[in-house]
Amino acid sequence: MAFWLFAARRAAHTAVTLVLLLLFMYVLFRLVPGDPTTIMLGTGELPLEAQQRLRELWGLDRPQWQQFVTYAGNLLTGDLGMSFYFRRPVLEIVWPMLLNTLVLMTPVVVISIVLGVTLGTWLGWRRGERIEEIGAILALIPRALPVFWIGIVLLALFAYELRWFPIGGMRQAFFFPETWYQELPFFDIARHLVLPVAAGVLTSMADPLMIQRTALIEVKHEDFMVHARARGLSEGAQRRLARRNAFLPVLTYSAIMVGFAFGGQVLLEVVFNWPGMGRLMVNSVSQRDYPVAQATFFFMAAAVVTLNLLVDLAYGWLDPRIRHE
Amino acid sequence: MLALDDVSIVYTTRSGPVQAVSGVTLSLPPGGSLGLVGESGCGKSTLALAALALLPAEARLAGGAVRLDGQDLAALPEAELRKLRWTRMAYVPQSAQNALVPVHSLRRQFRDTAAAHGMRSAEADERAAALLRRVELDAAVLDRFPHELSGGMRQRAMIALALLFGPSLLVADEPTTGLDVIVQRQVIDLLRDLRGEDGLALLFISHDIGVVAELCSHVAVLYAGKVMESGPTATVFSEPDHPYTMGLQRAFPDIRHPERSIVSIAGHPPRLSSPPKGCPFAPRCPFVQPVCRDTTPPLVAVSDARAVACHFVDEAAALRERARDPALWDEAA
Repeated sequence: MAFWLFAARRAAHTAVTLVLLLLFMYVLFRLVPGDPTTIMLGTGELPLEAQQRLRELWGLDRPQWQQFVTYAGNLLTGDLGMSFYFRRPVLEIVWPMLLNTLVLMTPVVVISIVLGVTLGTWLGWRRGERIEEIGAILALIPRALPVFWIGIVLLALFAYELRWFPIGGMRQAFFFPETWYQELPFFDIARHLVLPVAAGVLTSMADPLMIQRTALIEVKHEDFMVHARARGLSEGAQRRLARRNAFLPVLTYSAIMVGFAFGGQVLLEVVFNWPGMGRLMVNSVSQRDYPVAQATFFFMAAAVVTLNLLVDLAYGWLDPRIRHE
Repeated sequence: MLALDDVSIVYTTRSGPVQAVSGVTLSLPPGGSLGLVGESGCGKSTLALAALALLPAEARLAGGAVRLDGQDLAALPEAELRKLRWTRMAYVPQSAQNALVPVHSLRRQFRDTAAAHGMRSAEADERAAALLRRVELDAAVLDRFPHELSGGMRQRAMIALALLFGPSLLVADEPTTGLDVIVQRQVIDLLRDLRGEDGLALLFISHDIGVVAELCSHVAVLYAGKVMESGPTATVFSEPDHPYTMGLQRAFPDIRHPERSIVSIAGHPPRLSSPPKGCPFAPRCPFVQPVCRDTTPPLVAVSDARAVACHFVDEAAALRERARDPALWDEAA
């Protein structure tokens, strides 16, 4: 019962956060000088009267608060407005890009967390040994390198030199399967995924790894670990116990990581020519395409906030101490 | 059953080696009870861990041997030790609060322990329920998490967990620390009932000589990692031969002699990273003589059961008389 009260309160917090977020982003985009019509005018060849007509047509001449109320009201009914640039409903633009991004980022995030927690546990367990020092440094190297550089190196090596994987994009136009496995559904997307996922994992893995390692080193010295050893638990069982108890900080971090994954990774998408949210976000901002830009940022922020809510609720399940406070 | 033979333990620290325990010889027969008393840092917890072959990585057995039923624990590979742990020797640590796994229910902890030694969950549940009743807890606590239990319940659950395989040795390291007096009493009563049951031997570590006097037939008084005095509890505390025991004894209120004032032994135990020459207690001893600061007195048997490490053991009766004066302890050091 107490749990549902807690869940309801947390959900209410989340709703308030989202409304504030919406307002904040609305203001933020209006602070950028110029509006969509200035971009469209470009070289200034369009007459000023036409610009004024467009402003009236799109409601840009009305007071800001009116524009916001209209925007928020439409959003509630699921109407994200029309893209100024594409002249199509925002949802039609954003939705496919969001799916593409999820196709790329889901494996990146899942593999990063699973590998990070596994390797972090392994390194933390071997604290003080030579292999632990080397391992920690090795894990940090790719994190220190720019993701686009790793991407370019992977492309140069595995796509350009060895020709194992396609050079970029998400699908090959006119792909004709030649063998049975090439006929499998998603085979084409999968082979396009390998290199960007590898680059993404190499850079994203280090954080969960180091968090898990640090937490594990702390947990190792807890009384209950000495007691577990006294109880005759095997080394594997002791390590699993330590991993389980060290996992909570990684979980918190994962929520943020998953949330940001919804926004895609701009650099990764640019290097691998992946048609995802990151690129859409950057383009829509530079085109002053407010409705699209707001939608992309809102999706990402809403994902972060919602995942935080889910993690807070999951915490109670993972750590019974929290459930009762 | 448990025998510590001239055991020395050294901790490797950043500021150099620290001799936590030096030349300790103790023995605990099956079904017997031995108390280790001394101030914080005297090496009693280290000895407890050594008896369980659970010394942390930075500590090592620098000399001597720990034997369980004649078997040298240091000579056993980890896999063999793992089998001995909990089946033959169990442990009740200082803080049940931190020693129980916070994210697992008690049932899970009983089952995990059982599984480590090839016992099935169903049998573990059955044993756990019986043991919890034995320590006067409701079997329903099996589905509780450690933080949902009171301190006393946790410590009793801990004792029940220790008895899962009917071990022959139970090492209890200050099991009543942090509990209120009524709960302390319950835990002590429980341990007293268990002691000797099915031949269970109890190694009890405490700084409280009153509790040790109640629970243990034999006692060893530790100071700076050395045994100062050992023997049957009744005679050691009624007729202490070592000045440290005399001081320790007078540092606790005695309900039978409420008129006695409580003394504190002035000064601090020596730093074990640079132990002083001679008797370790010399700097705080009110009866100190020049010889004490030069030569370390060996632990010598003064009767069948008793041993004392003091140059003036022959004058113990006279020293006891002088030790009655509380002023003596204030002047020392």
